[in-house]
Amino acid sequence: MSSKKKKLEEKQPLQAVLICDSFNYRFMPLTRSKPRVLIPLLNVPLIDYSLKSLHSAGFDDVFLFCCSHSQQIKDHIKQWLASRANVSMNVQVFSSDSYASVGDVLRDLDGKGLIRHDFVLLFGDCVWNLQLKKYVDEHRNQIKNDKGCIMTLLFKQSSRERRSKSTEDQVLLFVDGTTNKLLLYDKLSKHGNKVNVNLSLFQENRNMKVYCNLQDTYIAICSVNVPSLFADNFDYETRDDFIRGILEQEDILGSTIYSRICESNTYATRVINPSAYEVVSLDILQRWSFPIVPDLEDKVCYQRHNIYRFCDVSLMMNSILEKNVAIGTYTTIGANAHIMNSVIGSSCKIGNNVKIEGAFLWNNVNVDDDCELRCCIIGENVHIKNGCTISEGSLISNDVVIGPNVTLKCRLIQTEPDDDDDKIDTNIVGSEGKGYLYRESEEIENINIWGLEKVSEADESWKSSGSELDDIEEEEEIDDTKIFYNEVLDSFQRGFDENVASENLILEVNSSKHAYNIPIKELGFLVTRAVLEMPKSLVESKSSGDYSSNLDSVLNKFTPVIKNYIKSAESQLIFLMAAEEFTLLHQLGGSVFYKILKFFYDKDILEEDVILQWYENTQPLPALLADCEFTLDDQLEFRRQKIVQAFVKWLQEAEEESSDN
Amino acid sequence: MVHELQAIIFAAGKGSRITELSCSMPKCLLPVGNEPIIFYPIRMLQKANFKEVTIIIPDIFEEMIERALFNKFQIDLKLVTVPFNKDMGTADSLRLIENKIHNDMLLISCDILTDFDLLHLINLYRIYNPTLTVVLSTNSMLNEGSVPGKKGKGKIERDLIGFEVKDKNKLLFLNSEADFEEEVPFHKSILRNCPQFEVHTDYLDTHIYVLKKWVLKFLVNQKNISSIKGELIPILIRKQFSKRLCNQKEMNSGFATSSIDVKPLVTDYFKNDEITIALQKLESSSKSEKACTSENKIECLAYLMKENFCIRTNHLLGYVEANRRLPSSSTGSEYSTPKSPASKVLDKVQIGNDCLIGNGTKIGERSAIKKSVIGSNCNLGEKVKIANSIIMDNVVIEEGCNIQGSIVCNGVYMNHNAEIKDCVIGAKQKIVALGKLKVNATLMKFEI
Repeated sequence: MSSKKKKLEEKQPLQAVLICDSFNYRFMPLTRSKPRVLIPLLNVPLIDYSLKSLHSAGFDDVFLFCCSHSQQIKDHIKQWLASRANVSMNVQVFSSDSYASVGDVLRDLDGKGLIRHDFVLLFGDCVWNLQLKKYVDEHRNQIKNDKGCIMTLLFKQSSRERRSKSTEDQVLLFVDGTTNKLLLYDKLSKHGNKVNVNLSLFQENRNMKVYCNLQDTYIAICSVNVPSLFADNFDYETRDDFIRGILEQEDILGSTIYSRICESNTYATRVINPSAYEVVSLDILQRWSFPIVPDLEDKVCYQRHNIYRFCDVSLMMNSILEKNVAIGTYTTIGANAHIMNSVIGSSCKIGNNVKIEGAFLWNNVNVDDDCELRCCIIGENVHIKNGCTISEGSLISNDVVIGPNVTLKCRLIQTEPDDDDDKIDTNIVGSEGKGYLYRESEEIENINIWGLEKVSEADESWKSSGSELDDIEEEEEIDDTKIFYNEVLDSFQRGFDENVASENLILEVNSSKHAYNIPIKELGFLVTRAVLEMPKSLVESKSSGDYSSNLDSVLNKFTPVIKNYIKSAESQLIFLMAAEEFTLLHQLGGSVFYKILKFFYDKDILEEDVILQWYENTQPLPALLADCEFTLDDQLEFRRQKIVQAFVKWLQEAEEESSDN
Repeated sequence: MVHELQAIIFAAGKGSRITELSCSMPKCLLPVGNEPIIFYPIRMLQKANFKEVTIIIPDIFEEMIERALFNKFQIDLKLVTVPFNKDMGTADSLRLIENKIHNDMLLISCDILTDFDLLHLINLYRIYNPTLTVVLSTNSMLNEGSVPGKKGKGKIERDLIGFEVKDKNKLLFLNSEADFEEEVPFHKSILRNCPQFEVHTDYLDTHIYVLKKWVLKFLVNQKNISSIKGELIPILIRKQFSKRLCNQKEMNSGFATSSIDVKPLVTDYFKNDEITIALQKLESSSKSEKACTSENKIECLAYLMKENFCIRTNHLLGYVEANRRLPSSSTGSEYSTPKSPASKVLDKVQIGNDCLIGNGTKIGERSAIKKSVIGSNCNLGEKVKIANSIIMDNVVIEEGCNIQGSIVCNGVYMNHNAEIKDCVIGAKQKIVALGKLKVNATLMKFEI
């Protein structure tokens, strides 16, 4: 009986769901006439890498889903299968214009009822060499231990240099220390300088591993019920929505997700943006993705320094191929060319004195003499005329003519205009140029779509170059206290304007307190200073009245806050010192100080003993914010002011009276 | 011999988490396994070949502690007092004795009970020479359970500890769970520097630290830091990730007038010892520019104590657990006299192997004692039943009493046939005949 069962298990076919639409426009305008999965990466359409890998990993069925340009994809698949007689893999292509997200595809998959076993969900723009069978088996074993396991996500450790490049597919993972169960999955790029994690996570999981050097491969091994879960929850759009939903509702759904970090000798990266396109191309040239290398299948001459020359390449005198270069068939390169870290398609003509670095030229590109190409992708049949410089993340679509003698930096050039009235701007593409500027639909200040400096999606607006971040760090080092103070000031300002409840303000202050490690003694001081600062900023913002006329309303509003922080005699003393420093700093004089004191004395926040103690023992001010420095003489003079003395005298008498009684 | 480290034991704590017990005697003299808890860290130092230890004690108990420690150890004990009535934190105490410190420091809390060999820690310190080393215990063994004298379960204060798992365990954060309200912030600078680490809330901070001497200078100038664990350690850990100090200073001096920062930086106090300076010179001759910028001066490491017995007795749960486990653990059998050395135990008395009976204690006939520690000079009558309890010194228990899961402090008198369960009986209380106390009561001042 058991052996029979075993046989049944072994028979489970390997099935893959390959999604061939990116559902975004990261490669526009290059993908206007061609889907992303068909753009050439090292002169091979992107999807071929997936198909080849799926075949060699021994998959039985591949269900391919596509939306835009579906006919092209269908034709390509047909052709691909026809040219490979030995491929026994069953490939079915489904297409629909109604697919707008991964969620739609999986809901449709559920409706079709194709899936009866665990399957692998992956994207058509991924280059990988994993032994997926092994991970599928691991997933099936995991299910034996944990019935709720519905998904295993595959991640890959990324190197330090790689990480600094594009942050878009970097994830922050919290997993269980022993089982690798996924506890938190988040994109680092969505957060600012800090990532806030719920405290309950730490209370429920005593032992966790945290990774933030991982790159999401977007390959997931899914259980049979994943499509139906998508169908049950119509709001799941992307895979990330799904993961978040499952993690949040673990108690209700009882489903769990596991993570698996692939071995270091494997390769898996999605080409999610032009920057990734560059990285993956160079990875393949440098053979990190072995056995996915150009010389294994095609007829390629592989030379040292990772130079790949396809058949019939002609190279003129004094041309240097420095390193990591692939050159397609029938391409000719003129004299004195200097090429590195680049891929040049087939039948290209490169003129004399051309410099190409980090550029990716597709087929039939003509580059005339004295051009310089850096960090760009150039579509098919493009003609770049004499003396042009194209650099830093330019994408140039098919059939465009550029030049002569223009410089393009961060430009997206397309073949057809957006509007019929658009005219060719010769300032951009040159006097003999043919092409139109492509404008991204959303307003983006910095159109470096190369992805190095910013990620061009509205919800991922976090941008930061390396240097910016260092600045922030340094600032933090300069003074946590100062930053904390500013944060408190902001909260108070907002609190006053929007009339936020005091309890919430206290909560805000407390959370900043922990973020900047503010000791309790400094806290009272800084909060006091911030409250006293408020009338001043009101004067500045509304330009009505002077400090003291705004004082009352502010003090009334913030009394509960002050009351929360100023309780003990010690903190009262701190309050007095803060008030003293503030009045001295802004030279507001004794009357304002008296007003503050009187107010809080009447509210029973300040005790007379403490005020007298403050008056008699002049202590040096802490100058925590380092914006002032007062000598003891200044302070003594401050105390000698009439109104202060009068108040103190009144207090003394009051005390004597009460003690007499 | 350990020359390069100066051992300091903090024994001035008030025992604010166990006021039930510490109100009648200093925390460091509370008995665990019939010995004051402070004996255990002293023995640990003695075993590690320390010749001298500085012990910080509260001034009002000076005499009492001196008497308790007198002539008990070969190690040279230097007692330093700090005012008990001022609220002194550990960092405040350290600041007070600054002039007595000449070396890097090994700081130990008096309430730690462990069979850990300090040599491992000293070796780590010798290899990496870190600014701060924190010893963590991976098996704190404590589960939240019921404690005597309180209703509900005793809660454990947990720490949120993050560290890198590599050849050395670099500390990334160490905060009390109570420091956070709802969310725990992770700075991206830390994530960037240490992209892979572990977060634990099941580890115990043993309060055994090794601290470089230069940090003390920083402390002296930062008067507002009052606790080592709560304030100093987070600052040190945070400063590990500060970069480019030289540049920053230049920047500061550039606009010093614009009133930004006059506050001294931690790292200003860092002074290289001779060897490091010599090494740097060697290095700088080979790679001239790199040497001055690349090194990060502050390094905080964690030492993971894996198989050792370790309990902190700073709360009731830990105190009870320590007493319960001590007889069976190696710490107990090595030092404490297991069962009835000079005590008079009459016939037909049942005493379990997991018990400790102090000197000069008399136990009457047909009594039964299980899983309990009984202090010295106690007098137990006939048919007394004691289980899961701690009886301190000079307690008189008349016949027929039944004590379960309780703590009975010094000099308590229990008249015959009294029954107590899950209670704490304060020092010198009297319990009447046939008195019954069951509901997790804490008896401090009144009599029954």
